[in-house]
Amino acid sequence: MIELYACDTSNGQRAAIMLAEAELEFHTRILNLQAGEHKTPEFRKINPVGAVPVIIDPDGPGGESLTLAQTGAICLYVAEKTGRFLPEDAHIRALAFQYFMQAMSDVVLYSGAYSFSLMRFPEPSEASTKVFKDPLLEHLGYFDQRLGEAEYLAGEYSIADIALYPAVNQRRELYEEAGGLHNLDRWRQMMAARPGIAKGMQLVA
Amino acid sequence: MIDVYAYRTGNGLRPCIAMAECELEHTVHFVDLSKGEHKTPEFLKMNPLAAIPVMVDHDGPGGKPLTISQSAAIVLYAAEKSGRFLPSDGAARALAMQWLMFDTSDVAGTNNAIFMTTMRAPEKVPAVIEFFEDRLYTLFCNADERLADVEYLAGEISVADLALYPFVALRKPFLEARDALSNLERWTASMAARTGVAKGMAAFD
Repeated sequence: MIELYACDTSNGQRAAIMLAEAELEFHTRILNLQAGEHKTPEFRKINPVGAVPVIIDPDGPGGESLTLAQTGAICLYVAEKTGRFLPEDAHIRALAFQYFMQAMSDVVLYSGAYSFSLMRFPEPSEASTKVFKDPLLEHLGYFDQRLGEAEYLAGEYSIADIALYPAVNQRRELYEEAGGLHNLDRWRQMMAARPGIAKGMQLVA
Repeated sequence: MIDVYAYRTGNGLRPCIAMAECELEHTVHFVDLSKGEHKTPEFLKMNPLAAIPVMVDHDGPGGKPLTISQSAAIVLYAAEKSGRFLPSDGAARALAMQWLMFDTSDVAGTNNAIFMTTMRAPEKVPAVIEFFEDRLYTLFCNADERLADVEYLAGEISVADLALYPFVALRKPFLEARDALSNLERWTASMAARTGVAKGMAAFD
């Protein structure tokens, strides 16, 4: 069975919902970030960098055990292992990679840096948090526009939707305050209703 | 024939390097961000987010044109189209994806956060800038430790090396101001010596 090491972050949620959506059997171990459980010598044997999520698949490529870090890589590995959520049509596949990378680079960056700016700026002023909040909302607005013309980001359901979901769920209040994003909200509810999404989100709550 | 629209940033150089290394016939078009050339109606048709890089493959899947953005997605597309830089061994392939996502979510993201906090933020908060700069150096240390054990990030050369290189190259002064990372330096020298890498880096000369 796959072991998932995660903290209760949006990246931890991405790995959990991916595994659950792919219907792989897995066991989740939640590490306490505040207590530094991801920086212990034991955990560094699993991931020298001391970052979560990490999966250990005892039945990896060639039947050998595989230890894998990086949220995006875990999503891609699970998709390839199960042959799911990666469109076969090359055109749609390229679009899936585009939206997947947008979620894993721009959205993860701005959402993470926005949280960071609220916590770490000595006196978080409106102006200093806006530098991350505005581009985050711009990206969410772009996804909203896309979801006005397609049911799912790449046209069909893919890893791109799975990678984006935890951030949209986390930033619901933010985009509602900013006036609401109708298409994104429809998509969020449709995503939330999927059993795998619900299960994964519950495991890393 | 492939058209690449870019500017001389880490993300902008990635497709230039990938196309050259994959030996795909391509033309690089300079998008002058300082003149707002990424905000013209023509450019916004290619990417409504007004961000470089963008790739147009006039001979895309099924012979139809394909337009995509997101540097890492473009690198993956070039690799799949040419059948290069994606290890065929399952474990090596998973590691290539792990380090590609490290380059994309972590290195490029942190690099962008430094840009935002130094160039875009209305208040320059030294503690915040220092946090992101320390994080970038730690990430380069992670890559350096990895490269002590292997010649390239995934063992064999892969998309992960192509996607990391421009960020290391553009951060030369940053790296020179800190403790030397000898394994990363060795890797940088061997990457710089590659014909395709050199051609891609010189795309805007």
